[in-house]
Amino acid sequence: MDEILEKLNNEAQKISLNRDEKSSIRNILISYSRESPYGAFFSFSFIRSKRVLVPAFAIILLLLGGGTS
Amino acid sequence: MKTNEHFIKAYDEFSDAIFRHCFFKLSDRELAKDVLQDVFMRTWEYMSQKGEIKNIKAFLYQVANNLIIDQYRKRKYNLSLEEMKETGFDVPSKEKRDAYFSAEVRNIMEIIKKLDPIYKDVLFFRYVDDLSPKDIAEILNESESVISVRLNRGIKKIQEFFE
Repeated sequence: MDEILEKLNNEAQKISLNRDEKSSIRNILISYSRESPYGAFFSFSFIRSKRVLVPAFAIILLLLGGGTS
Repeated sequence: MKTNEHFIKAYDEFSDAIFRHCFFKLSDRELAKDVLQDVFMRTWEYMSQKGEIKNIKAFLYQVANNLIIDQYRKRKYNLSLEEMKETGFDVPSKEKRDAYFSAEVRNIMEIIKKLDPIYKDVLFFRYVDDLSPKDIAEILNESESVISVRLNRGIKKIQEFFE
């Protein structure tokens, strides 16, 4: 029984997408994730993140300070 | 790593496994590819709205199972065989899938198909999808011990067919 189940497992594992099929779906998914409204939302939240916002604010202050002096 | 990088990484890692799962359940390569694409699109929508998924592997199988059930329903209730042929729908047949396997393996798959779904599903996940009892437990929202018991009982039921 173990032998036949192992054989089933081995034969099943040979089923896969070929390279073209895999990359074609991959490209569709990359476009989908970039174009979807959720993707746009995430780019805005990325801009809103502290790591980006704090240095950006500091640069603006420096520029403003430089401009007024 | 950004959300969409996580998402594409998940595709690279699990696309073959999810495709295999869909192909075995639907017996149709083209349909399995469509469902695979849909699985990842829905996963992306979920990830985008709710953030990272704790166990993406289990999540992908759960989404795949829901979409496969939708396909079964479509076949059963929405289209008659004649309508499918007329509209160019590729009528799934087990012959398409069976062409990939030896007679011995085809025989055991037929036996597994006849089992009660609670045994059939775990045997399928274990021996076709090559998942561990822990992974199966996560997908089916059961404990690992329940899955191990079902696996052992399922194997015994297959043995009964041979006796």
